Amino acid sequence: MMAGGVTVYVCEACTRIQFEEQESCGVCGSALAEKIISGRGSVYSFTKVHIAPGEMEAPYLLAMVELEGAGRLLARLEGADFVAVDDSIVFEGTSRLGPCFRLERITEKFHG
Amino acid sequence: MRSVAIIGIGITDFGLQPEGIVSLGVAACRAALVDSGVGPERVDAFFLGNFAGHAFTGQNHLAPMIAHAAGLGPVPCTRVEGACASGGLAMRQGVLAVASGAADFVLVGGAEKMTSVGTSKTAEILAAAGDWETEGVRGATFPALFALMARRHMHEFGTTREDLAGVAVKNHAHGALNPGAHFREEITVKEVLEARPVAGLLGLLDCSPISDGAAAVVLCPSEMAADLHAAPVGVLASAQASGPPTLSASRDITCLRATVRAAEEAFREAGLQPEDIDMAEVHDCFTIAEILALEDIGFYPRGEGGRAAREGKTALGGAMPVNTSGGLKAKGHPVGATGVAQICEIALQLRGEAGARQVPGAEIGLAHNLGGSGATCAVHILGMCT
Repeated sequence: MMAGGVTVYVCEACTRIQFEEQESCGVCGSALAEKIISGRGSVYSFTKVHIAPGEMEAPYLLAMVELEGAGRLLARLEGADFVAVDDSIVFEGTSRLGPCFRLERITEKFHG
Repeated sequence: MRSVAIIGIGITDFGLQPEGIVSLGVAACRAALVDSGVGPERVDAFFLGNFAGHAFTGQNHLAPMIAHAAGLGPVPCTRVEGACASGGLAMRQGVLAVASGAADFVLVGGAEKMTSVGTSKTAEILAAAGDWETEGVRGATFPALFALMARRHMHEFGTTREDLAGVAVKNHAHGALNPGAHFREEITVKEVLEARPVAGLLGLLDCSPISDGAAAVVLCPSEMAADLHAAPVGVLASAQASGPPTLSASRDITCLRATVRAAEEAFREAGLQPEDIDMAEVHDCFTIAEILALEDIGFYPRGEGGRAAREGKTALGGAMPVNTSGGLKAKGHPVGATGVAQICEIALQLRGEAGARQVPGAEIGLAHNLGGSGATCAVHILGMCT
């Protein structure tokens, strides 16, 4: 995560949170508000998916995360086997699977 | 608006069926017409609930195909799609057509053929009922979305894994009494807990199966019904509502607002309260979904739906039996057929023809059909015509 925060684009109509800059919401077409957020948040709910759709590889962890200053979104949680509601998470990056988060306690440990 | 009655019901066996989707649809439609005593030439319009005919079987444009094979004339035939609520929405369109005076006799069908593709492909097709960009591509299958709701419900209200399992055990016990059900074996809580995991807390026995099947009903104005059928069933309310299309856009993922709204509208239209309902068919696509439905419809206070099955309240013989057909869980869930099949079960119960699973003296029943993770909901209330 870059120092100073993460830039996100929040749709003013449908509340979707996007990580890539676009002229308007990629889904509903409404205006986007640019926000710089900490990239930190907490786990609102989670599930480990054992049967994946199509060609995706399972298992993987999915979480509804509550992002400080932006709202809630559904995303992959990487680098953890176990998670609990209210655990702290931090933005890791985006991929073709959308935004990805890590548990903050593991991130801190990783960075010593 | 005219009062509407159901004068015919027809349903195929649910499960792994050898027939194609058109044959299944035709079989249910013919059975409903025979039950009604109304010939196909008298039908004024046909509505078909079907979610993903093309994705599952390569076939779209199913309404006129099924209608033609069932011997209907050159009448309007319309497919209705609302994900897993497609059948309930088709029913509502049929009710509106008769109520408005646009049609006297309406045939409503629902059909889905799902066993034609594998499990992963099915998960992908069903996931398209959610928001693809913010849920589907991230790997949010439908079991995953409902597992997220289950985890949060447990966190907020103390609902237990055993509460979820209790729903599966009850509905399998009911399904064992339904000759047309996909699963006709009783199961134990232990078996549910030890089943292969699908998503989070939800194992294979918490999920409705992948089924083929079709169901149909014949509608007409109530004033004509008594002369046509010995036991017409009245449509006391037909309501539909919408909710957030994604879990991310829901303020509270333990409460599906489309269900709350549709149920409120239905009770208002019927002039009834939740305590007036004798039996209900609710959308138990996953065990947690039945618990949420019981709360959102108003049968149980928020957070207390988990105790219903555990205490035997919703089993046959309980205060208000739920999913006497076996529900989506055991009867099966051929997506487009489900909403119409729920109507068939309630009509059968109110007519006193449900055999081993009959609810004694049932006079008023409610059907709750959900689409997606809560974007669409249809609620119908039925009662015997007086």
